[in-house]
Amino acid sequence: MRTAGAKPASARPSDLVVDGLSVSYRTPAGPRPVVIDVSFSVGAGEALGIVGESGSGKSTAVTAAIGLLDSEMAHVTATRSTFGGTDLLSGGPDMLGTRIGVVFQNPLVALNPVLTVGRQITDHMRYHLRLDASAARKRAASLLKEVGIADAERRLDSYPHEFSGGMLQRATIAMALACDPDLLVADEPTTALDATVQAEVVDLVLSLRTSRNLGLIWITHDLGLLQRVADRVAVMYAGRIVETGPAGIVLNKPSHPYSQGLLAAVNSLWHGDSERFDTIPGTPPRDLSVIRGCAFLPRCPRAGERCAAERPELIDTGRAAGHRGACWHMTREAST
Amino acid sequence: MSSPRKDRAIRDLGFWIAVGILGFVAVISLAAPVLPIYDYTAMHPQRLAKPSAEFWMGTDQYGRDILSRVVWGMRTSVGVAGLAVIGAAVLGVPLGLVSAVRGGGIDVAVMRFLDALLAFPSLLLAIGVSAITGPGAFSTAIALSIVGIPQMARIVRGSAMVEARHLYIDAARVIGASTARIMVGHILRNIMGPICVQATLFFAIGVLTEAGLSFIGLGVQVPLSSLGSMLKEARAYFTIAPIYAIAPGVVITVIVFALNVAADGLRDRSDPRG
Amino acid sequence: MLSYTIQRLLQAIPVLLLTSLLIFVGLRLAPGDPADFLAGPNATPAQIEIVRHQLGLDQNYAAQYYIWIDAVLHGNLGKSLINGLPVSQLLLDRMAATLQLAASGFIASTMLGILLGLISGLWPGTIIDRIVTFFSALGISMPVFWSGMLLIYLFGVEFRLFPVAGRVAFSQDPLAALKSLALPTLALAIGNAPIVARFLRDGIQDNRRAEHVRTAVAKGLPRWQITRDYVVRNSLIPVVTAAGAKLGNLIGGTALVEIVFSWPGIGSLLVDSMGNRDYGVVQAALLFAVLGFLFSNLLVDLLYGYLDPRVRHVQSA
Repeated sequence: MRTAGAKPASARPSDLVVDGLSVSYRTPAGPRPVVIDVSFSVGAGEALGIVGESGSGKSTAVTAAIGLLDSEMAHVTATRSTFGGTDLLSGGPDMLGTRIGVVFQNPLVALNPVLTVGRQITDHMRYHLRLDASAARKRAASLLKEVGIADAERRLDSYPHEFSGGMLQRATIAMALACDPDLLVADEPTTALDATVQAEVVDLVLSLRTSRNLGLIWITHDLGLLQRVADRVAVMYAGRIVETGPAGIVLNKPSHPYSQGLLAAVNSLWHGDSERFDTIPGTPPRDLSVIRGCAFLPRCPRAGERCAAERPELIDTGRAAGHRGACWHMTREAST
Repeated sequence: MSSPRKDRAIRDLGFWIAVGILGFVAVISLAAPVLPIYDYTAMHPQRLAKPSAEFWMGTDQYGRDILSRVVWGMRTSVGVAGLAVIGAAVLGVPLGLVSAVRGGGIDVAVMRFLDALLAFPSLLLAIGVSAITGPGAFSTAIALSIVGIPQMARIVRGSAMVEARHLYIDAARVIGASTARIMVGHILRNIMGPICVQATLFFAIGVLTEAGLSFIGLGVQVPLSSLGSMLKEARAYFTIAPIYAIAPGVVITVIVFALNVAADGLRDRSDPRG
Repeated sequence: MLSYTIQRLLQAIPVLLLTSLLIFVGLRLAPGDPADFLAGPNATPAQIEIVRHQLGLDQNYAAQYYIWIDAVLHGNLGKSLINGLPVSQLLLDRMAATLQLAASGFIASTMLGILLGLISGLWPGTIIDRIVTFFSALGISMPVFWSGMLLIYLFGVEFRLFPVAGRVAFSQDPLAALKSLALPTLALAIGNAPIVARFLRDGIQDNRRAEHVRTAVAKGLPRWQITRDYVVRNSLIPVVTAAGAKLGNLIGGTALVEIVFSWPGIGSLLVDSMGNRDYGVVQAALLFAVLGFLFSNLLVDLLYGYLDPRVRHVQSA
């Protein structure tokens, strides 16, 4: 039973390292690439935010990296994908549920409607930790309390549809933390919730992160949210990472034109007048296999000749340690 | 584990075989009078004869050739069921359309009434209606039609409502009395798929129900015979002349099987592709 | 749960009334004079008039309907033409037989269907799945009375394993009763199990791809446990409704099976009396059959409500 307080420094290695990950879906029309050569890492206790539009491959990249994708539907390759040194892709998902916990977007759909919430929190707990029913139940009740659900005992015997959205997502978080994982993967956990409830859930995750010294991956399309949550941020576009680095820089003064466009859109939404809502013209590409050169080219205000001929790789921008961008025309500041 | 492509190929093959079988059945049924078979009412001296070169399936208790009786029985069964399908469609489709397009009180009333009819098990409903219409081939067809109308109407109503929703926004801009006719025509064209599927399924139900009714004695009457009434008579002679009882049953099974496979195939074709 | 039950009971009443009305109207539409029928083939015109007056047939339809319903509610269903016995007596005698057959047919169909559906659903695309699917399709294509005949021939005559006709009551000899029930039940199961099987198979296929299964994988649960608790369990619940939805089939089939196996139930009573033009019995038996059907539908609905927590709570909210 975990108590509040930091994990001792000499705990087992719990860093996620992903290198050269590619995912393509198997479709009747042939393989369809969705994630191309993506690399990222999350150190112990670190929080990584992954941001991008729908279809950018952000969810797929992370779920594939931890070994969650169905091999019948998707072909996953990587130079490396390890957690604490142990490979995640070679068939045996030992880490899932035990050292890596996952929270999904829509709790009502992510949970089994015909099992009680208590049962869903305890079943993997009992399997992994070999607890008996009453011990598991006690532990589940205290988990529910920890995530801020009052009347925990009674709630254990309730079904998912009896909870409100926010409460149910809290319960899902409790479920993900049931076996004391070191890393929490949150795939758009607040997207389906009301705005007020969103803030509560964010607060909850942040406090849990501190009290349990959790590593965190937060996937979202909401830049503003990551301001509070992330230490580092990776921006994905068309299946690749186009910019990555410390959150302060990527979220406030990004270098890549796509990130800049995202930021401008968010800013105009909140601070600009309603006449001028800056959006990035055009739409993301659907078929990633036919792209030559930079994928962002059709929508980029700085597009040049080199962009069409040669796809830019992620290179250091020189502005900060670990800040990299994939563009031939990166600037220091956000362009106006 | 097989691939989806192999699955689809097998299903396609199955579909076309089923269509072929049904085509064959249709041709034989229509051509029965001119086929080189015995007169199905003619009684020959050999009673309950075993299959031979002269009588390919043997003869029944009156010396009638079983093969020709099977052919004519098939013709009757298919004919009655076919009439029932036409009747159910002719009355059920407009009913469903009106209910869907008009909506409101009419829709509710119609649906309640249909639900009450659908509440009856089809065989019991058919028996009940037969009690009113009396026995005989034609009245059996009527009884079956009545059983089929609620089924048809419900499917049509459901599909039509989905289609109408698509049209609603466009139709709102069109002015004129012809709107209703255009809407109905358009809807009808688009729901042909589900209508055909349902009609095929109902055909299968019709064949089975007619067989049941005739087996009970309420369906077609002498001198006509259907596969069901043949089975009624053959029952007593099962041990002596098994083929008498087996052949009509096999024919019914093959026809219904083919109809079910065809309906599945039609459903595949009309749903995601169409 | 209780309010759900009451709600459903109340919903059934208008349907029942409507049904009785349909039966009543239907009979009045039948060709011929009901009093003539009900008085019997040898009645004199004077006797027919007496019957007409007795049955209230000389009054208007509304009054007649009321009289009939009133009589039914008091348990008086008229008398049979053939043997003069009170119809209610006849029905009661036969009801046990039909209930027994229908219940055993339902249970056998559901169990066999679940077994076949699980095999098909958990190992899709394999040879065994194809075989099961093929024989399922065959099962629903065979007329149920024909399968009955085949079963009689195969097991009753050729192999002499089971009795081919008649019914033995459990009170007399349990073992023989079971044996006499075996073939009729099997005939019903052949025709109805495939429907359940297909439904379960489709349900398993759908549930496999469901999001809650992905969550279960993310929790690190072993494959067999996920299949049991997150796929099969979710798929079994709607099977109950599927089995129940086809109760109509089963009841119709029961009537036919009763005839083939000389099973003394309401179905064979209905058919015999139709043949004898014993309309009093027909009317009552039809009403009874529909009543039984509605009641069993209600039971199935309640069972589904019990099994699926979402339905339970929605109804009582």
